[in-house]
Amino acid sequence: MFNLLSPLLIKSYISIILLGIMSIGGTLAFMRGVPYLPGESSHAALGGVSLAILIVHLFSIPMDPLIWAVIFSALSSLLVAYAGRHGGAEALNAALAGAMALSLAVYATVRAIVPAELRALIDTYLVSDILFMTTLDIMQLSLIVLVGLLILVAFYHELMYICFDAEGAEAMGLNVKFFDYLLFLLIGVAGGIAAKTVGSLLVFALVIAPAATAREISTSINRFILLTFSLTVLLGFTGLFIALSIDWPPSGAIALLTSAVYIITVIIKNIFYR
Amino acid sequence: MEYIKFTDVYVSINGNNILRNITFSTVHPTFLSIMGPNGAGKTTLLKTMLGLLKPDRGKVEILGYNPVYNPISIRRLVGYVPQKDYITRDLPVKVKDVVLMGILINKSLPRYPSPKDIENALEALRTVEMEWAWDKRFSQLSGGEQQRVLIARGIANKPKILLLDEPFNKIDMSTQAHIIEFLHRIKSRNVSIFIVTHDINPISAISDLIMILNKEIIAIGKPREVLRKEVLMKVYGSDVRIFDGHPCPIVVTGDTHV
Repeated sequence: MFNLLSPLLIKSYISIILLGIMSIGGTLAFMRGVPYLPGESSHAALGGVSLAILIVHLFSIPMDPLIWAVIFSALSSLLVAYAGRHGGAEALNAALAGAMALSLAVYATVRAIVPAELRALIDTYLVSDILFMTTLDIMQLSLIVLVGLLILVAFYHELMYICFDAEGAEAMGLNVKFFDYLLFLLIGVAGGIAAKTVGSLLVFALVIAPAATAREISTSINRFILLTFSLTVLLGFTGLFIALSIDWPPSGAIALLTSAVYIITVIIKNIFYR
Repeated sequence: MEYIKFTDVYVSINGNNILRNITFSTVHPTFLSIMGPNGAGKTTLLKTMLGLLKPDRGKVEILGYNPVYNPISIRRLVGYVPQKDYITRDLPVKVKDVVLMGILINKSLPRYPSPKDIENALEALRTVEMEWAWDKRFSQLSGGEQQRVLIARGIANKPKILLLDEPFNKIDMSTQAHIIEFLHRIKSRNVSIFIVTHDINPISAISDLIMILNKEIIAIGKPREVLRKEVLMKVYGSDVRIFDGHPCPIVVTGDTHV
């Protein structure tokens, strides 16, 4: 039996709660009609971390990979927003694909250049686990999540309004352009820091899948957000304890659970509530 | 006397001249219907009234305020109902959220609805006979019901002017008749109504004035003065037919709205 109050598990509990808050980025992505954006941003974070580590390797300049992960995920998200605003949905999707392809290309190139210990560090942004989170990681992520949450609470109505009816919002005097970029920024940063927490490969399952499930059963935006958070945390804890019981990696177990719950929800909804 | 006045107004978007030499004046309250083909600048005219577009030249006065220099006053005075096609309808938004949007956005943080805000939102829904939908999901409503909710949002702040952009688009005739009745009710509360439409027939009878717009004002006046073949042919060419109707002529144009 494992010690429920061991420092390692307490860090995992905090990571799951942080992941729950990050998954609200998935909710925002669905609201804005860009459900793939958190996944793309997490891959951009991978590209950013790769570049940071290349600079460390070539010039021996100390750089915090997390900061670069956040900068790159935010920048790629803003780039996608810019493309969408100037070229419509097609340009937005092209920018999403392009940014993801570029990030993966940077990752693959840098990975081939740097020595093994740095390669391992880069790879933690590709596949990671909540058990790997250090106290410093948790403190840094908590700060970023707190800032993001405060922005969301402060501008909740503006963000909801522009997602629902950008033209009406503009007519009411809202700076739609500013809030649209802010929305993309929040989603991008959520995807980027989720890459640190669980690795970019699992962001789709751990940030987007709970939001997709919540979307199927929500009747209001408030419920959509609360359900996404609650589902991520509930499935996070369930997955963690199942994983510890059978000696599996927790993030993988949680991802399996969130994906399974999404599929079951869609099937039940289609059979019984069509 | 309060009035809405455009004087020699020119408006461009991305360097393209959309409106030119727009000059008209109406007393308040009035019911003005704006008709014209696609690309005639109808929506641009509404956006200029809202202060979202700055005229290249000319002057706009809305009940004594210039929309460009008095945006806060204009937001209090003017309600806006956008085209329903631009709404993201699959969001899990409740009707009460939609109607309260217009009220809460003008409040300072934290934006919780006060009992008075809720009463105003309910009253707006009552006006369009949608009070029963308060707790319903917006996407579950029919197109006509959604349009009524959007009108309720437009009047929830008790504006003095209501601007509507193509409110009858993809709406069946019976719902159109209901909406017209509601608009009539709203106007009787001393509210000016400016409505953009490509199909004038449903509203010609209740319009005080009709404007035919095609980048510039082709005609403006009482329905019977404007809905004449020689006027409409200037915009729609020979592709226009007029049938005698009561109280207003019936207009059939080849114009389809896309």
